[in-house]
Amino acid sequence: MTALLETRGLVKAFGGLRAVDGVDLVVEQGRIHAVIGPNGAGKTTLFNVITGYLRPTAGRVLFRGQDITGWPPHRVARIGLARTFQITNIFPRLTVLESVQVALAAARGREKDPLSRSDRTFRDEALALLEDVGLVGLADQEARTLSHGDQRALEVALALAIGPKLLILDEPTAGMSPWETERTVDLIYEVARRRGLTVVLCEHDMQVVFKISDWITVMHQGRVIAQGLPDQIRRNETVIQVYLGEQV
Amino acid sequence: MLVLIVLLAVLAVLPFFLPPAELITFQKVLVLALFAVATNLLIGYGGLVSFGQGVFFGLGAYVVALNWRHYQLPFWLAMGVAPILGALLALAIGAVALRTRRLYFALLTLAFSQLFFTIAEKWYDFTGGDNGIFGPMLPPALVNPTAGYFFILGVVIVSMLILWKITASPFGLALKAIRENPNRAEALGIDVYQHQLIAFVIAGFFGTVAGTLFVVHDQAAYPQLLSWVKSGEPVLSAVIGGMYSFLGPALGAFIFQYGHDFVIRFTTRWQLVLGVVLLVIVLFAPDGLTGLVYRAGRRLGKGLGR
Repeated sequence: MTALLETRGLVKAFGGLRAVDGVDLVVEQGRIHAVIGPNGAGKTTLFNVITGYLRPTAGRVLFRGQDITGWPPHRVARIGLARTFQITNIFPRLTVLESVQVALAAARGREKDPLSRSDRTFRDEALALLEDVGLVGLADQEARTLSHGDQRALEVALALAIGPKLLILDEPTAGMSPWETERTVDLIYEVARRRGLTVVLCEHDMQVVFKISDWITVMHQGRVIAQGLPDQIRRNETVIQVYLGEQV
Repeated sequence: MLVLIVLLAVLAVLPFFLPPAELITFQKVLVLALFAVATNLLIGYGGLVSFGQGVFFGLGAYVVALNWRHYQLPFWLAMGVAPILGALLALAIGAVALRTRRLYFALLTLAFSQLFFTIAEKWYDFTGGDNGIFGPMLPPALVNPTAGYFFILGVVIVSMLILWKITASPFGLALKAIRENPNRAEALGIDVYQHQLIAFVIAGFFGTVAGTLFVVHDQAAYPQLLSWVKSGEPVLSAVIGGMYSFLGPALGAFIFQYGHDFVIRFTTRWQLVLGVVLLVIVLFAPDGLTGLVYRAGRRLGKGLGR
C-alpha cells in the first residue's frame, strides 16, 4: 500500500497553544481512516491545515508525494482533496441541484464559463449524484429548507462532485438522530467502497468509528498518542485511559 | 415572459404618449436601471457591497464630456472607449479593494470614488471643477429627445441581455455560491478572488456604459456623478426592488426616481422619507419588492391549489 496523504512534523500554534503539535499522519490509499480523540485534541485544526484553511507553523503536507504545504483551499480542492465541515456548510439560497451543478462546474474548470446556461450544465450528472446520496427528490428545494440530515448528505454530495481522490469528513454525523447517523454512515461506507475512495474522518460516535474504519489514529492535546487497527486501538491502555474509558 | 413582452411594448410606444419633459425624466430612469442592474452583479450575485460605483458612472459621463471639450474626437468613439476605460479602472480598484474583507472593501471603494470626486472638483482647467461641463455635446442624430430615448433604451436592453446571460451562466452560479458561502466555494476549487474581480470589472464596464448614457440624457458631466450619493442610488434601487432577482434593481430604480420626484413635491425632506421606506423594507421585506411579490404569488398559488 502507498501513502496518499502524509503529514510530517505538522505544527499549528495559536500564540502559546500548540493545537497541532508535531503530527505525522500517513493515510494509505483506499482506506477509511478515522482520527479520534477528545474535544480539543486538534483534529479539526489538523484538517484545516491539511486543506489550506490554516497555514501550518511548521511541518509539511504531502498529497500523492507532492508538497502542498500552505496551498490555498481552492488549489487543494483542485488536486483531488475534498472535505466537509464540522458545522453544516452549504449554500443556503441555492437549490440542491444548483449546489451540485456549481461543484461539478468547478471540478471541470467551467466555473468561469460566462456563456453556457448554468441550469443545463452538468444537469444529468448532478441528478445522478443526488440519486446516489438519496436527495434526488429534493433537487429543486433551496438547501436551507432541508433537514439537518439531508444537509449533511448534500455536503457529502458536494464533496463527491469534485471527483476527489481523498475525502476528509469532519464529524459527518454531528447533531444527527440515530436514524440519520445510520443512514449517513451507510452512505459514506457504500460510496467510498464503490468509488474506491480514500476517506479520513473525525468522529465522536465510537460505534460508527469501529464499524467502518480500517485504521485509526488517536490524538490527544495536539499529538498522536496511538494508531493501528480498530482492534488494537480498542485494547490500547493509553487510549482507554484518556479517551475510550468513558465510552467503551 | 408575457410580462417582459408587454413591458417592452410599453417602452417602445412610450415616447408617443409622454410629453417631452416626462420622456426626459424617463430616460433618467432607464439609465439608473442599467446602473442598478450592473451594480447588483456585485450586491445580489457576488455578495459584495460597493459604495463607490459612482466612480464608473462619473467616468462614463466625463470621458464623453471631456472629449467634446478638449479633443473633439468623434462622439461615438468616446462612447465606445469609455466602458473599456471603466473596465480597466475597475481592474485596478478591484485588485486592491478585493484583497480586503467585506467592510474594508466597501470603505475602499468609497475612498476611491471620493478621490476621483475630489480630482474632478478641483482640477478647474481640465474638468471645469465644480461647475462641471455643459454644452451641445451630442451628435445631431441624438439631440431629439425621442431619438435619445430610443438610443438609451437600445443600449440598456442590449447591456441587460448581456448581463442576464452572464448571471444565468456557470460563472453567475459560481458567483452566487460565493455570495452564499465563500469558504465552501473555495473548498470546491473556486477561486473566490478571481471571480469577484471579474464581477467587479463587468459591473465597472456597464456602470460606465450607464454614465455615457447619462450624457445622452443631460448633455453634462459634473463632480456629483462621481460622489457617494450617486454610488448610493444603485445600491438603494437594488434594496428596494430586490437584489435576488435580475430585474428587481430596475424596478427599484423606477420606484426610486419617481418616488423622489413625487415626494419632493410635498416636502424637501426626501432623505427622511427614503430612510423610513428603507427601514420598512429591510425589516419586513429584506428581499425587496420582487421578493414580496414572489412570496405572495407562491402563497396564492398554494391557496388556489387546494
